[in-house]
Amino acid sequence: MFERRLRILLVFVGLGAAALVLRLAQLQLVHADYYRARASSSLILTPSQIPFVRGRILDRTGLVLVRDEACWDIAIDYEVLAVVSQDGSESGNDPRALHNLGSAAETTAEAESFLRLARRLKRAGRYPPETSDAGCVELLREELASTWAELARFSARLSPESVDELRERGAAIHGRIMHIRRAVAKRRGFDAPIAEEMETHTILGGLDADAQIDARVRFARFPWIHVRPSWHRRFSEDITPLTHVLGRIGRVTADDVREDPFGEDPFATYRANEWLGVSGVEWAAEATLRGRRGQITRDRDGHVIAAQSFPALDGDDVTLTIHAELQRRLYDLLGESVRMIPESAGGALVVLHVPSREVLALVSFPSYDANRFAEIHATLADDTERLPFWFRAVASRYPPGSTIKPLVCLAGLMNGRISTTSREHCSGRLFDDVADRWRCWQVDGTSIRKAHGDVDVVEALTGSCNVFMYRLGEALGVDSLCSAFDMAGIGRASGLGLREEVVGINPTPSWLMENKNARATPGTARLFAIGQGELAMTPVQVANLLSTYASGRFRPVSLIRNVTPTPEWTLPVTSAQWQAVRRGIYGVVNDPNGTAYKYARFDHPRWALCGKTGSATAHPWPTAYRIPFADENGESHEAIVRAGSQSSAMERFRRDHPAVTFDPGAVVVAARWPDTPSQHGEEHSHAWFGGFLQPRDSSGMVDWSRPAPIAFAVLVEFGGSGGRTSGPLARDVAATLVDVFGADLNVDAGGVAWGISREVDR
Amino acid sequence: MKRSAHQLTEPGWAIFGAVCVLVLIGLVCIYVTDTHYVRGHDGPANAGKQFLRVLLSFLAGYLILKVGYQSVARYAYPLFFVTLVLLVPLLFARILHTSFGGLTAPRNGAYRWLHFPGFPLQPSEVLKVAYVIALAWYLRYRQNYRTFAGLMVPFLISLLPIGMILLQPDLSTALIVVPILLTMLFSAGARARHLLIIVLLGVALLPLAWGQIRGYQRARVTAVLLQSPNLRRAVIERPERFRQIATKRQAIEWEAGAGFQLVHSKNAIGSGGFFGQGWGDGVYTQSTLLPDRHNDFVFSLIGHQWGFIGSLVTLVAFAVIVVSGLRIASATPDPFGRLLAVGIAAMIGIQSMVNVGMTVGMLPITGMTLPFVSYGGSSLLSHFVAAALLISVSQNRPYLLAGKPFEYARREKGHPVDTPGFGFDPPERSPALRGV
Repeated sequence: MFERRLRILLVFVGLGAAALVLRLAQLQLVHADYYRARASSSLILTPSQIPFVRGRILDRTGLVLVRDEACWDIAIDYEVLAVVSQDGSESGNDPRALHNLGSAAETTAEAESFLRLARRLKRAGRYPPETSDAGCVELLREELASTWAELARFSARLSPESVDELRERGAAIHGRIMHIRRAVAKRRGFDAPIAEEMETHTILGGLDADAQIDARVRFARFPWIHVRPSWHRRFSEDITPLTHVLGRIGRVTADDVREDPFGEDPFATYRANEWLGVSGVEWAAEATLRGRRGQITRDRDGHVIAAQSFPALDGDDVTLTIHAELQRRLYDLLGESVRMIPESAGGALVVLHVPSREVLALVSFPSYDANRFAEIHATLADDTERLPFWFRAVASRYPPGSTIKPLVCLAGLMNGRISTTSREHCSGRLFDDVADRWRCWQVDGTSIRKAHGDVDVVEALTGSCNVFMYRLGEALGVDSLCSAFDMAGIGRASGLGLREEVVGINPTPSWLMENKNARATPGTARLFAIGQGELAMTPVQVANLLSTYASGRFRPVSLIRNVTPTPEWTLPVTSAQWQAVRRGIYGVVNDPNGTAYKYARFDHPRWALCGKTGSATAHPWPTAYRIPFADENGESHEAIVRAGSQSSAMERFRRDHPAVTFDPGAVVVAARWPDTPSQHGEEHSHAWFGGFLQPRDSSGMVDWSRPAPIAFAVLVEFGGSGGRTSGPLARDVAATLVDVFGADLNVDAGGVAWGISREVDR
Repeated sequence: MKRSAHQLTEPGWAIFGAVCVLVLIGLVCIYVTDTHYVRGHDGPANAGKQFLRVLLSFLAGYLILKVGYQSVARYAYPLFFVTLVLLVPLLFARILHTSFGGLTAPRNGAYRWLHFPGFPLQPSEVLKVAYVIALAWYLRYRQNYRTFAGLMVPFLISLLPIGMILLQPDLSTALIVVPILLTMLFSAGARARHLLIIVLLGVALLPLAWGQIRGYQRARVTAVLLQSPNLRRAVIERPERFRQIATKRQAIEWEAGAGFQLVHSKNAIGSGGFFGQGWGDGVYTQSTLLPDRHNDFVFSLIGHQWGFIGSLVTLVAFAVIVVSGLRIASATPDPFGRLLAVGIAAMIGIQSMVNVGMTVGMLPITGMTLPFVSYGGSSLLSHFVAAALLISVSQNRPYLLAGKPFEYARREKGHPVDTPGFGFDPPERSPALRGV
């Protein structure tokens, strides 16, 4: 029996062995090739992506305005970041709290995450194996506290930051990653760690060579701190005049990931650690500036697998149509003018190349130094009077004032309401029995200083006669006026493609009904005819309007070179009619009756300055709000909050005083800018000047047969009369243009390096 | 008949040869595998350490041959007791979460090692051998296990070591005790019917145990099932239906998660092909991709380096040990020697089959070493002692006047009770044994 049972056991052994041999044959003989392929591919590590260098932005002469510059970042492991971010601010700030492990204030999740990390570090040999878990956690807490303290000490040499600020930044990174993780979990159907949680994250950036060596030494004892090479965006020196145009880059947000235009391409999609353009050209030319990440695949021995590795494609350079030197000089000119007028907050100046409508200068004053944005940001944001962040040249619209009058005359000529010879009588007021309304601009109060008398189109434009325009506007009606405005591109996007841009308003009857619930009346038409009322244009649009006057064609403007030419169209105006209008514009500056004759006369043998002054009704804007509130004892107080709008004032107050409640209905404006009444009349007004340079022939006479190369628009906020304030500035602009582009006004002639060095290579 | 320690019998030489082959395979595998990323870091050093252990183990085996298995047998119960006592500090460490000053420091969350200075010991490995000796000693003259009630006693005795090892936790070692027990009872003549009932009972209780074992242990079992891409797809599509098997996440992350070791073990073995990648060559030899490839997964490395041929040689070596063990059992008239030989053959056979089975994806991955091959002192020493005991049984054949033990007649009609086979003589009276 024993023998038999042994034999039975032997059969079992044989069966088991046979099963194993069959299985081995299946693996090693039948499917050997499959497993061989899998074995060789299993050595390859998950490929990592190589960052690209963002493209540079150059001006039209090839000056590098902004570029990526090599630097070093201090990065911190995510798992440490996650632990610290869960660490409440109370226990983080209070050094005593570092030692009371297990106190009631701690959440269990936080304690767990500490414990996990401490155990991992203990396994890795950082802490002696005989240390208890609690002891390791305590050691870890002390080490993390000294990490943050050391980071804060180190940051003193960059931009000083406190431990709290750094911790807050860490918490923000943690929050952003958790946000993305939730989105990914929703898509996958279960929650799991995402790639970003295995990575390190920049906590301090932009270290130079010396700083990074110092950092490596200082942080060598913390294995979770890494100093790694990186890139940061560097503007050229003295970039202030161009700051608004260039714009800024910012961190990728969850919204950017959701609306990723590069979502199809795994090497171009936005990732949580990346930067992208958020304003200006950085935003507008994002697709060009942005490169494509490369890939590097290594096997476990660290050898690069060439077949699965490729370099990053750096972003392409973007060449602006802006002439940097011109921009700088005009910025200085505009700044001088604005500073001379105490109530003026700022201004804008736009220069266009008429044939191509390339923007040669796009100046907004005031501006700021983009290289120092981080340190001056808070101060600038507080300046609600001058609003330095406001890109006035494209982001603010003003009534165009008298600069619209040539277009109104063109509308009359096109529609046959007037002819080049028809005359109107101006007695200083439209209605003899209405003394205080519908007056001509030269009438001060009720006393008539000077009436224009009988005027034709040319004289009406030269003297900027309101009464002529009132009558013409009334005769045309809002419909005809607005269709003429439309032909000149009013109410259309200018073509810059900037996200800051505000499109002007062409107040058609349907627009009026929709937005103002108002009907188009003869009075509305009269107002539009002198560029007031709901009609609104940005400085860049006024400059383009002047280009249209100069060339007879409308065309959208462009800010970036080598883009497909935008479509253009010719206005249905005869040359005789153009002649009349242009003579009128010429007369404004060059005729003794002209509104800018005294201020803007530009004596140049080859170029005649033609232009149109304008004054746009301006309303002071709020700069601070008064918020009444009651404290916890019931005593009522008032807070003055600096803000440009009621909603931002309330938001700011809530942020600073989260515990206090207040009545939003009781919030009132506390201060406005300008805080003084106007010097030049009862109402504030913005001063416009739109002009172009017309060639003169050899005898000094204006040569209307040759095209005008350059047009521009000047706006001085709260500058008062257009002629008096913007006129001299326009003359200086014309002189600067001739100075910069030479007597031929050749905009493509090579400029002079000015303050920054020209670079060919990166 | 009693032979001197170096005069081996024919099956003795066979076992000796097979063990030498296995030890050699183990040493050359350990030599080329570095457990760190730096090449040449510790492979040769580990092989040197292992070689020292092999020498010590040979010495231990020689001593056992010298004294003979019967001398060891006298201390069967004290030996078993001592190994049980060795488990006690681990048990306390596990429950109290202390390490007794580093003595019982856990590895990967399991309390299996006693860290004696310069001599870390895994008591559960030693316990297996001591258990086989004690069980053989217990069963040698009895026949009460032929009744169902009597059969319960050895099972109850086995519960103590099983429970203590389970708590470490070390599911695999605990579970290997049960097949050894069944094999020994079966060969000792316990009724197949009874054993079958017990096995069926155990199978019926499995669902209960399924809820009791740890999550990672469950995942290891389901990881074998999840090898099938069809099952993985089914779990991903209808996770609620396959809740008991795996979560959707486990199915999706199988290759990088629970199935990682298995995937790479199969890759390693399969990519070996017929002749293998060669000694020291191949992806899995040179990279640290496959965890535990010098101890628990050393068979993957054998298959990887020497292919189907190498795998067969290894399996044949184990088969030689097992078959020789059974031949020795059949040849000896000593009841204790018989059971000891069967128990040791079962222990080595089962453990090697389970280990190879897990590396090829037929059985769940458990922390079980490949006898004689895997890196590690406790396993090596206990298996050497076991092999030496086996050889010793073949060398010391007592002259027995009595008939061969465990020869029970088949139950026939008219035989209401079990009767011993012809000429059964209670061995207490056997002069042969007394003379040893």
